[in-house]
Amino acid sequence: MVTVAAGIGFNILALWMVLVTECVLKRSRPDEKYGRMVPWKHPDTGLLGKFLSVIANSRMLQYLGEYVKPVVLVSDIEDVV
Amino acid sequence: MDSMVTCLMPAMPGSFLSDTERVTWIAEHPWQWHLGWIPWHLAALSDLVLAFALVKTSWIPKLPSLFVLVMTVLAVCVEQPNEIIWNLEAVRQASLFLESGNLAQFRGFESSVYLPVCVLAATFYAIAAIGWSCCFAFSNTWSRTLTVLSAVNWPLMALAALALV
Repeated sequence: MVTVAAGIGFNILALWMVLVTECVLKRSRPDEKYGRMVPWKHPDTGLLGKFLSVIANSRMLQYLGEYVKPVVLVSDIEDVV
Repeated sequence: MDSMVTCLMPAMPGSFLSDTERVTWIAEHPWQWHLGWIPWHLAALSDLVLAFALVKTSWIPKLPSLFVLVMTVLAVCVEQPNEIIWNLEAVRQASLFLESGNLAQFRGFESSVYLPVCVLAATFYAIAAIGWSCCFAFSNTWSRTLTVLSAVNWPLMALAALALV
């Protein structure tokens, strides 16, 4: 029983950490009227749409995504000054 | 959590194995046992880093952040020495058990580290977690969901720790 309670507790703790990270990142990246911080809304107003909107507006996922290297375009033209 | 389930659970008090099987498991899987503890040592380190970060962050109120720091330092000071002893010494104690068959010696060793790690330190961590909530709630970096999760989880974790007494 105690083991199950501790297991549930640690899972909620992980969720708590994610949500508090969202709040902290939202301080430095608040919603804006224009630009890339405009809240994105999925056209579907159902559960799936709401879920996708939450994912799309997640500051933590945006922050982690910035670590992914941008795609380098391959070109035959080299040494262009 | 994964390390607890995959590496430590069979050997922890209250597991699905009997005491004799648990101790034999530790003696036969020493590296699994040692590896399983590493994330818990790192978790203590990350808790300390978080506590210092809260104190250093200008928009977090000082009183709750200092409270978190004190509770975390207390938890780490109680937990880590005992956890390290548990990690390193349990394998030797388990080997001694296999040689002598004296389970009482292992039980004595285990109970000497179990209480500080699983009860005392866990309670300090749960109290520190209440301080985390205060830090973020008082600085308006908060949401209703966090209120609900905090109200459910911190008492749950404190009770889980105290229930082991």
